[in-house]
Amino acid sequence: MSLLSPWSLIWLAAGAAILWLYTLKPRSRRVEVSSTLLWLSALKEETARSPIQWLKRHLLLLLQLLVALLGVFALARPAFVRSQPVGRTVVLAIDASASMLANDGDPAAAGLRGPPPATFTRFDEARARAAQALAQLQPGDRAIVLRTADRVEVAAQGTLPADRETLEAAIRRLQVLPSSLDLPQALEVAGALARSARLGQVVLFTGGVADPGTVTHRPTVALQLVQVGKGQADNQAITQLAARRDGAGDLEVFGRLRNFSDQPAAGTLRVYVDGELYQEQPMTLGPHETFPLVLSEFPPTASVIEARFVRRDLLALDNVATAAVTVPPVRKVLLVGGRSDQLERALRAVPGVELAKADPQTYDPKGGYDIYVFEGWFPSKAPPGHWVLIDPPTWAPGLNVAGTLGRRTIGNQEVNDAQIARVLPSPLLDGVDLTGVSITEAKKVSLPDWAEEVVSARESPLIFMGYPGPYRAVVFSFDLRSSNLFGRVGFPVLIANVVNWLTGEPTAGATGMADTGQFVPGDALLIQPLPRTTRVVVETPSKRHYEFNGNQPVRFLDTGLPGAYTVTQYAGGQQLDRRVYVASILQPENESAIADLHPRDGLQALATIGGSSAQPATIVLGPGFERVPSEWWRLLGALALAGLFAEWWWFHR
Amino acid sequence: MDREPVSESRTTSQASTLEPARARRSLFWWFTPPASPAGSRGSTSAEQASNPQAAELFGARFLDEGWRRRLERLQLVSQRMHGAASHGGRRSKKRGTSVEFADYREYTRGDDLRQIDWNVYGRSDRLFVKLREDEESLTVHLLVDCSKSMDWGRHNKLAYAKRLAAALGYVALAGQDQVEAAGFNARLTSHLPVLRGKAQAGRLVTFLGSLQAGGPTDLKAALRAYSAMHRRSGLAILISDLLNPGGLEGLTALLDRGFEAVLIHLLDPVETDPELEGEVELLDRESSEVLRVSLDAATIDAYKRRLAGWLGETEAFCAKRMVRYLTASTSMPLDDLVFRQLRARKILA
Repeated sequence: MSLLSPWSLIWLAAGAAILWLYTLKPRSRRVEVSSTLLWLSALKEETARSPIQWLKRHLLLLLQLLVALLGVFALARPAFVRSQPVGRTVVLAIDASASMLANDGDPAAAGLRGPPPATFTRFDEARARAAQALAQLQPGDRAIVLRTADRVEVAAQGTLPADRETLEAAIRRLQVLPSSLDLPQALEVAGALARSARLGQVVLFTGGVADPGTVTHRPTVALQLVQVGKGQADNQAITQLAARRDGAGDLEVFGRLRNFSDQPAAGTLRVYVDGELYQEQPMTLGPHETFPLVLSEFPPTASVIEARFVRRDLLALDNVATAAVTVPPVRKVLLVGGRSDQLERALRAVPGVELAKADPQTYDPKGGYDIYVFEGWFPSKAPPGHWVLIDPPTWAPGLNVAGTLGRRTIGNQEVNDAQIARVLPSPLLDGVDLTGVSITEAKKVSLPDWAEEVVSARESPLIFMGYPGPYRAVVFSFDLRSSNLFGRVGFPVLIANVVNWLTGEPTAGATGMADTGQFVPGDALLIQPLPRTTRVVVETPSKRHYEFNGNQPVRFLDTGLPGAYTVTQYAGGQQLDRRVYVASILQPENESAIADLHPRDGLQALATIGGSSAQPATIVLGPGFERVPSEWWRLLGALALAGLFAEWWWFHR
Repeated sequence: MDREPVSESRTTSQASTLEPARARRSLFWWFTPPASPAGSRGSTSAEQASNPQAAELFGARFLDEGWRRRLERLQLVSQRMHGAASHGGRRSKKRGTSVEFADYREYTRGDDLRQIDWNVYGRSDRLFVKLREDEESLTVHLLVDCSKSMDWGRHNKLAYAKRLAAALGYVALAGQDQVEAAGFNARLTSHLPVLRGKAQAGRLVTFLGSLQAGGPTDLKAALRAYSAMHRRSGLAILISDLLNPGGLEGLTALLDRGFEAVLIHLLDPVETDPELEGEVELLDRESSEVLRVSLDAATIDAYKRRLAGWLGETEAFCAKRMVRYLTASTSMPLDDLVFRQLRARKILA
């Protein structure tokens, strides 16, 4: 028996109060009797009958104390703890990170009989053992199958036995993600799912590559870690590969080959250029040796470089790395009414920009350019492409220019209402510092419905951007010469950001896939078609082709395979642009989380059940019951009430 | 516990307004029937009140002639003969000089020659003396407990005892018995010498009316002292509440002197059925001691059990010593006690 509210026992002090009150006997009244002779005899006789007489005399006190005791005990909520059968909820979390493809799965532990298969990965073993755990569950139990890698997904959930087949099929269909295991996130999600159940338990099947030191908060649920694989670590990986062109335009490739094994490893390094074997070199790496790769003398047209270390190790996935040579797209820009050399130079400095100049009189509205830059002038009809308008004239269509901003005197005070008052986050300002930028005069322009502010004065926008029609547009409401932008380092960056944003290219401050052309497998590949693009074709590493309409952005999702993804844009039959993006699992910051197959120390310390065995033979499932307190304060309350009635009756009898 | 006011003060105030000359008009003034509104024969109300003690004791009731005549028809029953100093109206086992023949016995020297039955001598040549029954008077000793415990109760026990003693004394005087009375507490407090004849009833009543309550009870000492005063025995009627530990031993002193004893045990209804509860301080009427008790039903029950046991012990004591014992409640009308209870117990006939 236990007390759910033991602090209520403090009310037992009320017993002392009852005793104290009882000692305060009512004042006696004096009564004359003929003699006390018989009374003395009677009292002696009554005393001789104690303790029964004592009990009768003090019955009221005893009843009051009993009622108080029962009441206090009821307040303390006494309860018997009993076991109650309840359906368990078991979260089967399966590590689906790239390291689970290590080819050292244990068929025996997975329950396979007969000759061992040629390849049996840790993931195969994890799925088999998850199926075993599923078979151990009883009717009424609930199972949730989680795929855990760099993100956690619920593969299936259901109640046994009705959903057993669904759960088993989900386990069979699980695939490895080419990423590392985010162990804290996996434990947090699995723990939350288990905690929401009355009797939850988490069983995590993992190769043990994740670093337990990253787990700062362990969920307060029953957690068993089932380590799969034989714990081998014979693995070599190309952990880094990057390509660039030097100043002379020659291609250089840098990389790193690393042996994660405790033994020397001998193999062959092969380099492919645009799919063709370009170079082959036998290599022997010492234990834990890292070999830097510096490759050069590639053909001028080389765009995709693939390095492959040929050796039969545990994990073949990381033996291949791909790098793409980023070639900036060609963007034709027409500058109309250029007032300053600084703007022209800034435009020419943007990679891929082919600049042409025109006057308002010679402006040809037929187009043929990706970007039109108008300075102090704007045609009566918007151009057939993205455009930039600097210092808009009053007649600019779609813009409401009403006066100017600048220095003026109000009373005795001189103010400049063209100064920058607000700077909002925008891709145009990536890498641009506007601190100290001064604008002496600007047009007072109302912000159109299609635009969003980038930089504003107190009463009017200074720079804004948006989609006035099918094309993008950027407006500077001031003459660049009326500012000190020209003399600042950020000005060319600002112009480059404008050009890149208009043509859908990454801006200077962007990170991730865009700047290096490399992304994590599984992430979406965003493609912004050029203005004249009519067709976008994506070629995957498996040489599969996807074709999309070129008049809208493309979000390409079939990026699960690592390797080169080639995106080609066409205008009719004309190729406008061709670019290669590389999906790679090997990021410098997490190379060891995938390629280093050594089981990490201390991982089992995270477990709360299943013992400390590195490889428990069986899945330990918690009991199918929970301990439920059964309170009985109502009985005590009823007894206390009965005691009160008895006390009342005894007092008034 | 309320005590019913004794009628003393009321009757005293009435008496003080009466005319003394008329009260002294007749020696038997208090037997004179009252001139009651009911038209009873006898004296007037002024005459009734001319003896303050009588008025205090009996009010108009005892002076009722009818009631007196009813008493005169009664006689105290004595279960044995007692030596009497004078002849009375009661037969004696002693052979005496009355005309009632009792028996014969042979003549012996010294016998009165006048008692020889010469007719028997003529028939048998033997001298026989005629024995005749002697009629002797009984001395009734009325012993009234005057301790402070008697001056208590819803119906004052002492007043009740006085009225009872007066009634019994009148029965005795009317029956040619001698009456001697005494009041006592721890000692004899007052004594009335022997009275004879109804004419002495006024003295008896006056004596009883003068008895005052006071002091503790010591039955043993008082009765010993009383028995020591008397060489001749008689019928001793003890009226007491017996609230004196070991007091019954005093009866032994009377019995040892040859007294025939009657014990009338007076109890007030409040003593037999206490109407008390809660926290009380019991003040002893005699000793002034205070007893703090918490009275509940159990305690009252214990008291009643103790009272019943005490009465039983007293009755057993009396039965063992041939003492006639009667428990009387002061709530019982005196008529009922005298004409029914005492006759039922063969104390009166």
